[in-house]
Amino acid sequence: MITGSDITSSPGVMLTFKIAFISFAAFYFIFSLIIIRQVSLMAETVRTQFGKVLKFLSLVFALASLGILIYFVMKL
Amino acid sequence: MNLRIFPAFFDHPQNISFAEQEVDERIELFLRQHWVKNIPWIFLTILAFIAPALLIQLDQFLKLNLFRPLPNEAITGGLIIWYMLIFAYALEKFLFWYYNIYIVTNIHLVDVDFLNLLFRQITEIELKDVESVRTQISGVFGPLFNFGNVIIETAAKDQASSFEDVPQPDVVADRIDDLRQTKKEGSE
Repeated sequence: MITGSDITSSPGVMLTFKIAFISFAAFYFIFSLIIIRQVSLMAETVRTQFGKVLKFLSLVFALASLGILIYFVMKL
Repeated sequence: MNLRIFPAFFDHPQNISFAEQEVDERIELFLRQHWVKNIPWIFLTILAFIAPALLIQLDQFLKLNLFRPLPNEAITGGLIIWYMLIFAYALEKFLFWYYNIYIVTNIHLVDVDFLNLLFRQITEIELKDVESVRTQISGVFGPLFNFGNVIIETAAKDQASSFEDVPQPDVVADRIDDLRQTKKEGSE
């Protein structure tokens, strides 16, 4: 008898999960690049002291997104 | 009541300037929406942050075993994606608040709109074109925290603007009115 556990742990299902996770992480990385561009544009439009911090944080965010994408590719 | 973590009202701010600022133009007021406007998304973010832990507790309490058939990798990946989505939501909301700015200078009224990640709009109105300024404080939180809309009407119909949910709207309207009078007297 085939159980729910057998279906969800089969290689096909895991591959589907992996493709879905990697696709999501790739889109998320693109989103983080858009954030960098937008924050940079806004920081040039309105120059505040916190603008530089936000630019730095947007860069950290993009690097973290790239890290998650790599994690999904390598580990899952 | 003012929170330094979400500053929204700057009178004669130092170290702030904007792209289209003229040489003899000085910033009188630099405004954002009142910090209270951030409460709904902060609350939702906290709720979403603790939701997986609550779901697991509920699953164990009711012995539903919803997650047992799933491989550990799928659960880990799902949790990472969930927290990535929450972070993206909170970041987008914060940037929306941070970069929706209203500036009152001695020459212009500037409305910087960060509508979404792909769309930005800057509207400038010359003070000499301002016909009238009025305020609108409504709801429960408006009078309680002293924030509301400042509605600016100009001679041109399509140039009307409003500063939405700004702190101390009466002070803002008074200042715009004073600057408008000074500008008009200066040009006569």
